[in-house]
Amino acid sequence: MGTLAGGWLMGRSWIVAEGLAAGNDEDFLEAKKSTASFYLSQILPRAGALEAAVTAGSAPLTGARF
Amino acid sequence: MPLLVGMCVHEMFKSANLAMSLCTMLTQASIDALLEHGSPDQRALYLEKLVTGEWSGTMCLTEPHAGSDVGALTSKAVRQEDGTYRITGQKIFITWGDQDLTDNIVQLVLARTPGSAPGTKGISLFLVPKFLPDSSGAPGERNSYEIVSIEHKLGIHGSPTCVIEFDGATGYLVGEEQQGMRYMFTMMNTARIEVGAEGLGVGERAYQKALAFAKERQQGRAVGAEPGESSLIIEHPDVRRMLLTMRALLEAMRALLYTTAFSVDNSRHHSSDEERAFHSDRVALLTPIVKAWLTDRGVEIASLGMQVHGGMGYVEETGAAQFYRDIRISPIYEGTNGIQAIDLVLRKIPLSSGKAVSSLLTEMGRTAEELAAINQELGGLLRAPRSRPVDARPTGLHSASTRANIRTRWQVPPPIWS
Repeated sequence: MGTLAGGWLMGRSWIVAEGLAAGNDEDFLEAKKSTASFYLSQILPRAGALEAAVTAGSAPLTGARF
Repeated sequence: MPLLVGMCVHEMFKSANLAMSLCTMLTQASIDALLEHGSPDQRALYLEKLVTGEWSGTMCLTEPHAGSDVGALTSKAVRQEDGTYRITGQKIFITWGDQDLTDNIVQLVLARTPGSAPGTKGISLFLVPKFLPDSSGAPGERNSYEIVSIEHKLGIHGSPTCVIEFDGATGYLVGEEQQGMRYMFTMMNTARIEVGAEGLGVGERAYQKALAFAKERQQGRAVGAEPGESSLIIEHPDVRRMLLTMRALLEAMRALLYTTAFSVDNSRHHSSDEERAFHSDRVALLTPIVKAWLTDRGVEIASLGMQVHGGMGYVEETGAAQFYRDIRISPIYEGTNGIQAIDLVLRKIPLSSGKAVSSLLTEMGRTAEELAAINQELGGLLRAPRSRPVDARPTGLHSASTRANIRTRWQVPPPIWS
């Protein structure tokens, strides 16, 4: 959920930075957009992997012997 | 001050020194407890001194056999004829339990009164000052408790973690008997958001240090550099990957923390009942996520920071190792991250019949569509975690809740992005 929520807010950041582009601190806004892009392509994919693990059922845990 | 503004300041405290920041954080929690539940006399006597920092506050919950299971605690509180209580029992892991920086220390102690209900229901909250205030409010007689030992820990070495033996100490009841857990929970929710902020604060410090190091350390020849040239390590792709991972996580963490703090402020102060209720649910849902995700990522970031330093980070001279040690406590205390996961799945997802989570997921979906409309590639990435068959998540959530025997009927959230 955290990784996904992070993706949501980085997506929002990108949209807002794009909207503010004209006449504002362009270096800051460009950095914000590139960081958001990095998050979406390099970090957000973790959410899909976690979803697969979370929805795989409880058998791998309960079936293990120690 | 709005929590949203406070959080920005607290983040800097935590970046500066996590161990020291815990003293002010616990004092703030004591202030919140007395503001909400203290008697007018207690507020008059203690609040000003706590707010100015002349006195500090602590939270005494944990006992040797009652950690995550707070309901197992056995410290006793016996009412005296004068209305005070005698507190007896051992408390452990008391952060800033003793020090000589302030004139007095206000220990807030959870204990049981005789004949109280078992488990968390029978617990009461007591105010146990180190020095009993005299008639003018000045620190007087030393209360009867002892600091038995100070723990040796992996990190936060600047924070004294005490074992306290209460030996018939004088305590003052806060609020009513057997309501202690309820009072504690009102504070714990804000404290959990604060602990999440530790991951951000320490992570930011670790990033700044790693970035500065990567800009001055020369090792090896980067791709495209002249033969014989020694490149700055920031030119190496894997170092850039680590720094960008740290930066991207930090910006997402900060956005989530501030979004939550914004909802905390709205849940308390918005003029509309409906808005207050909406934000109150949003805070309840996001709190375990903020606590667990920000602290786990804080550890990841501090670890990456050390990695950027290479061997220099593993020895003490750069300071990178301290961040890694310090932040390692945050996924553990204030409810372990496993406890946060239980809270999220069993209490927060079913909240308001599932409306709290479904409204958040709907909002996320709208952002993905909005982003896709201006940048198809990025919007596609944001949709991607939901590219599996749309019935996978509702089925998973539904069966998890059924297994946990939740009797509340709640609406399965609609598919998010479709």
